[in-house]
Amino acid sequence: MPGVASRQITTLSLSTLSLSLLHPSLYSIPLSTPSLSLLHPSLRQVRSAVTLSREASGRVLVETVLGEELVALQEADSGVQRLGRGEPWAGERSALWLGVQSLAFTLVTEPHENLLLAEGTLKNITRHCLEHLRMLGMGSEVLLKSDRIDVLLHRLLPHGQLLFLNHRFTQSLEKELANYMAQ
Amino acid sequence: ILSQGTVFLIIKVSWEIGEEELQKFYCRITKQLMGKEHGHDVIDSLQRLHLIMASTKYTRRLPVELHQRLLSLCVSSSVEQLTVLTSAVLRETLPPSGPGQIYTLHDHSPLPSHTAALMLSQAGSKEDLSALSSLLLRSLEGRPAGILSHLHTLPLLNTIITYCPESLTEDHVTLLSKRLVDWLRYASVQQGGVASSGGFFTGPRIRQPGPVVELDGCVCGDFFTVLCVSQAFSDDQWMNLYSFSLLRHWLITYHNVTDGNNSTDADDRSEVDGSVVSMVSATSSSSRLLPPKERLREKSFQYCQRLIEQSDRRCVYRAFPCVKSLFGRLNSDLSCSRVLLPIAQFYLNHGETAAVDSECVWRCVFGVLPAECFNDPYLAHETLSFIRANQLQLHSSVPLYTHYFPSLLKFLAWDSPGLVSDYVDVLPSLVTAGTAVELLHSLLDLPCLTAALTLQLRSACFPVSEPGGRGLSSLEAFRSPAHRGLFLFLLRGEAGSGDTMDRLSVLHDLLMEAADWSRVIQSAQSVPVLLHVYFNTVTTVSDERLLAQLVLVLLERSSLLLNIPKYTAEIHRVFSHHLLKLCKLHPSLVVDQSRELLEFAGTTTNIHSKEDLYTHVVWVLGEYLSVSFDSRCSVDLVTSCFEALEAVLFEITSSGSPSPRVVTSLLSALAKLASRSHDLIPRVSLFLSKLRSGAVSWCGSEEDVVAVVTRGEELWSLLKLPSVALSVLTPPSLATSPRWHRDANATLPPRLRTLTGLTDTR
Repeated sequence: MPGVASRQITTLSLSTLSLSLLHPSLYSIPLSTPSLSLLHPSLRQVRSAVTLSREASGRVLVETVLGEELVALQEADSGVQRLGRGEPWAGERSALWLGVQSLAFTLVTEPHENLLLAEGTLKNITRHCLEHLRMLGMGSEVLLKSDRIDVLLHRLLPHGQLLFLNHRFTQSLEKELANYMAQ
Repeated sequence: ILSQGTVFLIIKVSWEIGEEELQKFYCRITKQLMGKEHGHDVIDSLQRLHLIMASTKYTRRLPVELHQRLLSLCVSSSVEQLTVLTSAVLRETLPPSGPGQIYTLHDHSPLPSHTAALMLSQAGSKEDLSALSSLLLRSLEGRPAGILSHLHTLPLLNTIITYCPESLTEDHVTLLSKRLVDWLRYASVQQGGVASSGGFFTGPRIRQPGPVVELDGCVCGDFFTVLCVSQAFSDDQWMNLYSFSLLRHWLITYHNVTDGNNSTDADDRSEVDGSVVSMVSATSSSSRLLPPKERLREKSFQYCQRLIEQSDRRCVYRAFPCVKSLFGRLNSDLSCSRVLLPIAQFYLNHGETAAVDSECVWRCVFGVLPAECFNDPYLAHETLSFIRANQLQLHSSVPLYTHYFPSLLKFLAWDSPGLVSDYVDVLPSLVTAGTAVELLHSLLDLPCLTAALTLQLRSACFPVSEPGGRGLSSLEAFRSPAHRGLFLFLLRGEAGSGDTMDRLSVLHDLLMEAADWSRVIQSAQSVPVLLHVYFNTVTTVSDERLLAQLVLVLLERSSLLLNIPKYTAEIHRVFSHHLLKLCKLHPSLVVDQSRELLEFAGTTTNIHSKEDLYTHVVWVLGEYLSVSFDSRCSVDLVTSCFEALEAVLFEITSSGSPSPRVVTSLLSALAKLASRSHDLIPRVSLFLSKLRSGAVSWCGSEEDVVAVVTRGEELWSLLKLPSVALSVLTPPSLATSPRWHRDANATLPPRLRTLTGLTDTR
């Protein structure tokens, strides 16, 4: 459908079009991507939001390395940016973001969705991405093991559906994920 | 962190792969996929293929054979990694270029989830989506094996109805409503699956799974919900989870009806909750007799009630009392602040029906929460969304809402860049005759509020002054009892205790060091646009008396602003623009406030500090101080105005180098005033003739000289003919608001011309 941004298209950011440079040397790996040419406006907005927020808070970024994923997550700053009509989706959306070091993870929600649930889901997915794709290191798993992101999203955010997972449901899903990632 | 260099290197390699090499690669993969076994090398190849396809800007076309092989693997493979990778690669080939590339929906049941994702991506029309939904729903009717296959049916449907709710027929909706009831209300309460017990033992030795338990460990007290825990979950319990996750969206899309008629009014969104409440109070035991949609609503309501019970066991009431006591329990707990917003929505929708006193809710949501949690970006976002969604209703049902604007501004003060667009939408609703003046002052002091909030947080984090004198002087001031009153006023939560404070300049001095804090600067940058919104709105709710007050505030505050670079200049620009607009709308304001305007214009220091605003004030005086705009304008008034401006002109031209713009505007104003009181003409003409003779030593550049002299020349010649001057410099309103075709006199010439044109056969 022309202009449809389907949240379950999990072309997770591996194309150059969606790897855009944020400031000063940030990447954005959007977890919910519409067709790539539509991606830029929302990415730019999120980038500004992250930059301005960090500027205003005046916090100093602490470098973390592989193995320190939980610390990196704790230090992460987060927020939500309203995307108005036509920016680029036809209706209004909210872009939740989580800034971990020089990476920003974004989850775009519709007005009727539960923001609190989305916040938790984003944190969870980010943690898994950092761990399973070893993103705090110098490796290139994020490019060469894109199927891991697909599977991750497929469990925790199937076809873009936010899930009311209690800890047991989550455990069950994470066990399946761990099995997959071990291959 | 993965460096930019490495990433681009890898992608570059994929970009630059030559056509020949690529074709060889395709052949190799095709061969690999033909084999029975698919080991690590196949996986690697597929990953590589995906990277190549994803990093190409245009859509690559795969050779037909490879394409077919990938598709068949995607549909039939039992290895998840293969389905994931093949699905991802195939998605990169969309949109399909020709008929051979489109994937036809055979009756693949069960449709694997990753394949369904592919089907969804290629859907190009409502018919495609309808076909896909039919397939999905058919698969639900049977009992297909395999967890992934039918468990993801609901999330898939969620995506479908997001983009095209019409792709589900009435029958589909009814069918699914029935199934949702089953999954929500009648899921098994036994622990699902088999608790793994080593693998060796099968048969009666196996531990029987017990019932599911609540979060606190007790045995489940009622039907299964998402708050029940277990070692493993059965299929229908997973469906319970997916059903509840989908539920709200489903009800909003298909169940916004009252009394069964399918009105899809957008305003009926709030009716969804309303009809749920009313159904419950009407029936509870006869639910089995209800049609599927109503039955779903009834069960959804029961489900939600059960969830609330499970969250807090002490609460066992229905509907309103339930929500009310939930509010009572939560409103003192700031960590639950965001839950209070849906509760507020409930009160807003149903408070009047239930004749409940909602004041405490509004005080909490608009007064307390923003004051305490101003730095929570999610709460800010949700509160603003709530206000934006309910503006009309708040206006009519919650009159005290505008009363809380000082508190509401705190969100904005803390995070201006993120929220300014929300406030542009919300601000008009806060502008009333009662709040106008106070609100204007508050907007102008928004950067001060930002500074104060920062200090408030810092003060809380560091209760004791830092040793060694490294503390901020503004922090000391914040804590000192002498200035307590200033900060208390600034941080007040409600309007009505005064428009502004007396010692504003003291406050600005105390906060001087805050002027280069990033947050304060960001806040200052959002003020001009909000002032524009404010002024555009305030003219619609004010009478002349109020507008007169605002003009005074304008003049007074022009020199009372926090000294942030560029802030003052920007505010002056906004003031100038709106002063003009206000006076144009209500010219009699000028005569009304002539004393203050004259005082402003007569103070020469204003020229240097506020040139922009000054020239506008002078212009406004010249233009509107006339008996044709207000009959109270006496000759004496015109004369005293003239004299004041004349004095300023003499002063600035005799010492220093004034800007030519100021001089020309003064000249024009004087000429206008003189044209209305002819005794004054000789006086101004004298000065103008001096200009003609070249006494412009005070002028800076050549261009300035030309500008001033030209203007002087024009005015001098005009004033030689007083009656002409009068009609040019003080045109009657007939000329300034032409009526064109409506005016009999004005239409005659065009009519004549038209007739002549038509009849002239030459």
